[in-house]
Amino acid sequence: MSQYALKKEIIGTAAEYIVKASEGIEQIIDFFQSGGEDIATRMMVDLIEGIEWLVQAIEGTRDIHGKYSPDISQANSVLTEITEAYENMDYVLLSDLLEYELLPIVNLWQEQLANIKGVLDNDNAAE
Amino acid sequence: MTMLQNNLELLKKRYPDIYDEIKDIHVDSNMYQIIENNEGQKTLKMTQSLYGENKSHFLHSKYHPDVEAERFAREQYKPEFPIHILYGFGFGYHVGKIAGFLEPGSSLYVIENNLTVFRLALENVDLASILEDPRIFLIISRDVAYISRTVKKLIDDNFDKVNFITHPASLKAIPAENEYFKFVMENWNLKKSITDDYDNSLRNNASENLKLNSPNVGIFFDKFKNVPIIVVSTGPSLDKNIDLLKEAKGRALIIAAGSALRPLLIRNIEPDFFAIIDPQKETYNQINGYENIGIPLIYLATAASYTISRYLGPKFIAYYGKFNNGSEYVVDSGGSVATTILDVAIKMGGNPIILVGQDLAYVDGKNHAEYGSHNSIYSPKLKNMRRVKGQNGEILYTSLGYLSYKYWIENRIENEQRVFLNATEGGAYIEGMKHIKLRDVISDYLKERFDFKDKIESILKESGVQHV
Repeated sequence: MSQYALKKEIIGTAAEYIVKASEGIEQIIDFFQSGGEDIATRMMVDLIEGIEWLVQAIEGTRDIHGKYSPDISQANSVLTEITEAYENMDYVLLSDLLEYELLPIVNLWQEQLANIKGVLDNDNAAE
Repeated sequence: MTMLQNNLELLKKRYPDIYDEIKDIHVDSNMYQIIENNEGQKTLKMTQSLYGENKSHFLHSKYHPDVEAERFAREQYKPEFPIHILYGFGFGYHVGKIAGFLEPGSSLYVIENNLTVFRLALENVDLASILEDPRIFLIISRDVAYISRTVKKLIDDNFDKVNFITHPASLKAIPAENEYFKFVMENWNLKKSITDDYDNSLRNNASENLKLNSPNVGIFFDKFKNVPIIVVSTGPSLDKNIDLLKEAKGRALIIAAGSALRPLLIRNIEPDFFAIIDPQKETYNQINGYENIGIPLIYLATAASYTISRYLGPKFIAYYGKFNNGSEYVVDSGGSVATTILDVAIKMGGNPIILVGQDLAYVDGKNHAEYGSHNSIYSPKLKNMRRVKGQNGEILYTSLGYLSYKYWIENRIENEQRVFLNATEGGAYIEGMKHIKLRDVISDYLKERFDFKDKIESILKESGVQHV
C-alpha cells in the first residue's frame, strides 16, 4: 500500500473513531455528573488513549489534509489539564474540562475530518 | 441584612446546635478558594493534605453548577422512596434540585461532616429556601459517631423506604481524620451500583448449585478447635513464602483460595481444602486440569455453578445472607474468597489463624502471585488509586475493594479471643493481627502434627455424609 493510501485509510479510521469519541465523552460526563464515577473513570482510560491516538493520526497525515487541516495545538494543554484532573481524582473539574473544553474541539475536528475524507474520496473517484 | 446574616438567622432558628458548631469557624483561605462564574454562581475549590501531598478538587462545576446539579438530582432521585438521605451538602445546588423533585409526603435528610464547607456555603450562597423547607432536615456535625447513630436510626425505622445518595465530590471533602467514616460512605455508593444483572447471576448459580445437594460446610464447624489454620490467598507476596507451606503441611490445616490452587499444586503442595466464591464461570480456569484432584472444595451458594458442577472431588456448600436455604450454618462472606475462608476458619475453631498472600494492596505493580490469575497480574499504576498503610509504615496503592476486605477482616476478628497472625510478607497492615514471617510461624506456633485426611473422613462419617 502506498504512503498516500495508508494515510487516507488512517483518516478514514480517525473520522469514524471521532464520532464514537464524541459520544463517549458525553457518556462520561453523564456518568461523572450523575454519580457513576466508577464507570466513568474506567471509560476515561480508553478515552485518553483514544484522543492521544487521534492527535497522532491527525499529525501524521497533515500533508494530505488540504484546507481543512485541524489545529491540534489547542488540544494539548486541555489534555494535560484533563490528565492532571484525572490523577487528582477531581472529577468535577474533569467533567467540566470534558464538556466545555475538549468536546467543542473534538466536535470541530469531527467536521474537519469528515470534510477531509470527503475531499479525498472525491479525488479518488476522479482518478 | 446580608445574605450571611440571613442564612445564620434561619439556621439558628431551626438548627441551634448546628449554629453553635458553625458560628465561630475560621476558614483557612489557603485551603478553600471561592470561584465565581460569569453569572455570579459560586463554587468551591478545596485543597487537602493527603499522605503528605496537597490535592485540590472542585465541589461543583465552575461553569454551570446548576446544570450539573440538575443532572445529578435527576439520576439520583427515586420517586418510589419516601425518604432520601444525601451525604454531602456542598454549596447546596444539588440539595435544591433534589428538593424540587420531592413527592408530597417525602423528605430529604442531608448529612455533612465538613463544617468549613458548610460555613462557606452560608457565606456564599443564599440558602433560605433550603433552610426553611420543612421537608429538608440537616444532619451537620463534625462528630461522625453522632452522624452514624442518627443515620442508623433513620434507616432502622424506615427499612426499605430509604434512598441513600452520596455526592461524590463531598465524600472527598470528609476530613482525613474520619477515614473510616469516609470509607463507609464510599462503600455504600459502590454497593448500590451492583447491577440487577449481577444479582440475577447470583440467583441462577444458587438454584443450579442447590441441585448438587452438597453437604453444608457447617459440618466442620467447631471440629478444629485450637488447630492452626492457614488461609492462603494469592496476593503478590505469596511468591515470597509459598515454598515454606510445604513445611506447614500436616501441622496446620491449609485452606486455599481457588486462585491459589494452581500455584500450590505446581509446587506439589496439596491444600486440605480450597474455596471458590466467585459467580463468574471464568473461575473454571482455577480447576481446569485438576477436576479429579480429590481435594475437598468449599463453595459459596452463589459461586459459578458452571465451575462447581465440573469439579469431581468432594464439595461442601456455604450458605450466606439471603441465600441461606433455611440452614442454621451460614457463613459471612465479606465479599472475597479470603474473607469467606477466614470466616469458615474462625467457625471451624482454628487457633491460631494465619494469613498468607493477603496483600490487600498492589505490590511492585502486581495484583496477584504468579499463576494466581488468568488475567494479567500486573496492574497499571494509576495515580488515582487509593492508598493504604503498609506493614512497615510505607504507603501502598490499593483499591476500594481491597480496602473493604481489610476493614471487614479487622471488624471480624476484633472480638474473637484467639491469635491471628498475618504471615503475608508484604502488603497492607491489618489492625488486630500480629505481623510475622511464615518461617517464624512454623517454628513458634506449628509444633504438633495432624492427620487431616483422616480427621476430615471421620467428621464426614460422624455426620452421616458419604465420602463422595
